[in-house]
Amino acid sequence: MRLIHKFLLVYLIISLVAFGIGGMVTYYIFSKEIERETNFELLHKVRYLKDMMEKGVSYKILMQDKIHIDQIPSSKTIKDSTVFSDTLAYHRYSKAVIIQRKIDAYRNIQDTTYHFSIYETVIEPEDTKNSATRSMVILFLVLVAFSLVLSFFISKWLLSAFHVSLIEMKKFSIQSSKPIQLPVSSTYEFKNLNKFINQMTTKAINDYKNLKEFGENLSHEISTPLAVANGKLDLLLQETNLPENQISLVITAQKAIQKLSKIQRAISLLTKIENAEFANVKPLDISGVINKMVKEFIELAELKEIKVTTDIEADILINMDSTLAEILFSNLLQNAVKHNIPNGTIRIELNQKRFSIANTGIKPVESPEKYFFRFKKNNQSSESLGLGLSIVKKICDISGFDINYNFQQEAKEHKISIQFQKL
Amino acid sequence: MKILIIEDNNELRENMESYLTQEGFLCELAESKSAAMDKLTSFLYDIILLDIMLPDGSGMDILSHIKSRGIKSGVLIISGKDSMDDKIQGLDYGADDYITKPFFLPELNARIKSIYRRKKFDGDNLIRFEEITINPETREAKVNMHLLEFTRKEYELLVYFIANKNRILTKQAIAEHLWGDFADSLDSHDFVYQHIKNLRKKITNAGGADYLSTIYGMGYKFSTEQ
Repeated sequence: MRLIHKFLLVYLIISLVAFGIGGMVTYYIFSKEIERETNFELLHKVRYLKDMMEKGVSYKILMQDKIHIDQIPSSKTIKDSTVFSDTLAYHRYSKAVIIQRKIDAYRNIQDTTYHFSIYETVIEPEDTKNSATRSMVILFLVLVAFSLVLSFFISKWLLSAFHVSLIEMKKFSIQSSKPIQLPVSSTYEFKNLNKFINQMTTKAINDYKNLKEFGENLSHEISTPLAVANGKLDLLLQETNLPENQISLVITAQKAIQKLSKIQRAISLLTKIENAEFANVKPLDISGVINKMVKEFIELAELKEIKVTTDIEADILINMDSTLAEILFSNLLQNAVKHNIPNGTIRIELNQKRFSIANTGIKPVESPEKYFFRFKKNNQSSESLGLGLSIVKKICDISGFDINYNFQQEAKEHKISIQFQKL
Repeated sequence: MKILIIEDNNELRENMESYLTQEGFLCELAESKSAAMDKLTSFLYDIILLDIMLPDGSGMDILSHIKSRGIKSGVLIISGKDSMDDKIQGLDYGADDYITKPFFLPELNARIKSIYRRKKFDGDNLIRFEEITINPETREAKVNMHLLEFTRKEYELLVYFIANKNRILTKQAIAEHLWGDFADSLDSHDFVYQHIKNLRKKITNAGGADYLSTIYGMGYKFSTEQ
């Protein structure tokens, strides 16, 4: 539900209550006013009749429909008094008993007391009520109609600043290093929102920049001491007459340095991929890339007596960054060779829809998809880094590919498929 | 061969100097951009080892200075950053090769020799070791006059061994040389063993002497001494 519709709904509910109360108040005021006017009219009539009688007109002549005058026997003396009341009386023209306003007045005229009893038809309360209700309903409907039309324009005009902010936010990229700059809105809330968006994006960009610089600096700062240590060990190794156990110590130390360096490079690569630093996306002949990689690894595979079969369609063009493509396919091929068994096989297939690589190997301990997580290895004590498939996964994510990994029990085959177009 | 080592880290500079001096190269050192500029105006070098990040400026500035003055030295960039951009930029600016820290000193040595060979336009370009002759242009190796049928990796391996003759080369250093970034799995060491076995077989089958000795199963040495 749109914001404006919610506003409108709440507004109309409140209006409905207000109109209800308004109707009752109107009815009450109208009734009072009618009663007052009728009373005034009746009093006026009594005064007129009294005047006529004081001028000597007989009260009998003055009597007519709705006017009744009695002479009170002189034995009793009654003071002038006036009493109003509502009464049911027969109405001659409507031929029905309806509510009428009645005045009972006692007046002393020339030492004689007369009782005036006059009826006046009034507007019926039912009619007043109906009229009040009807006018309130009509007013309410008019209000609804106006609100609907108005809301359409108001949402366009009032929320335009908000929509502008929304569009700008959608366009925002943390790598662009440009904070969102929004036009100043005259609305307090939007002004606040835009200010916040601006501050937040500026901060996000700064944090991102710092993190990136930190990563780059760390990479550089670590690599130099590693190079120093590795070099010292190289020199030590060249010392003549170094006993076997010491050579072994040196080589083990160098292995550790190499591993540290590989981890640092792999993580730095992952960060770079995450930061979308490889964004040179264009149609790439991946048939060529894969054929090149196969050539690179075929010698290794043959050394391990692994049979490689390929079914690579020529000239397959896929939108992706060329550096990422090389990293992706070399990682997959490397894995297929590395985790293979002697006399095993590797099958590589490529067509416009998908790429798949299947290799024989030992049964994985856990669900194969788990190897997409960082540092997840089949054998935790193994020398491999456990970052290869994380990199593969990241590259697929960033290139918009679907990747899945499964193990076929009977064939003892690991199979990784990459779907180029998302299904 | 005269080499200028431009590197701000003392220890790393000494490592390189020590290893390269043993190779019989003449090394001079510069720890900053200004020191390097001074040396470059007064002396000529065959090879310049260039660190990109220096305390008083960028190695790229030195590189453009070298190129603008038409100095004919070979330039090998030594960078702490494993960054594609730096690599591409360095090579675009006219550097001959690029090596990322940390590296093996034998690798540095092999790269320097390779640049030196490529730069030496005058005269003989062949690599010779006893009865073995290698032609880097045609990528052919011969024992006496007998042509060896090498795979690409075997060829690279032989060149690497000869560049670092009489030195212990560990399996790791060899794997790193042959496969670079792909050498991350340490079972590539088995591949090293296989390659070396094949290399040795091919040389001896062609009538060459066996110059390869195994160092306690951890490394290899290519030398005439036994």
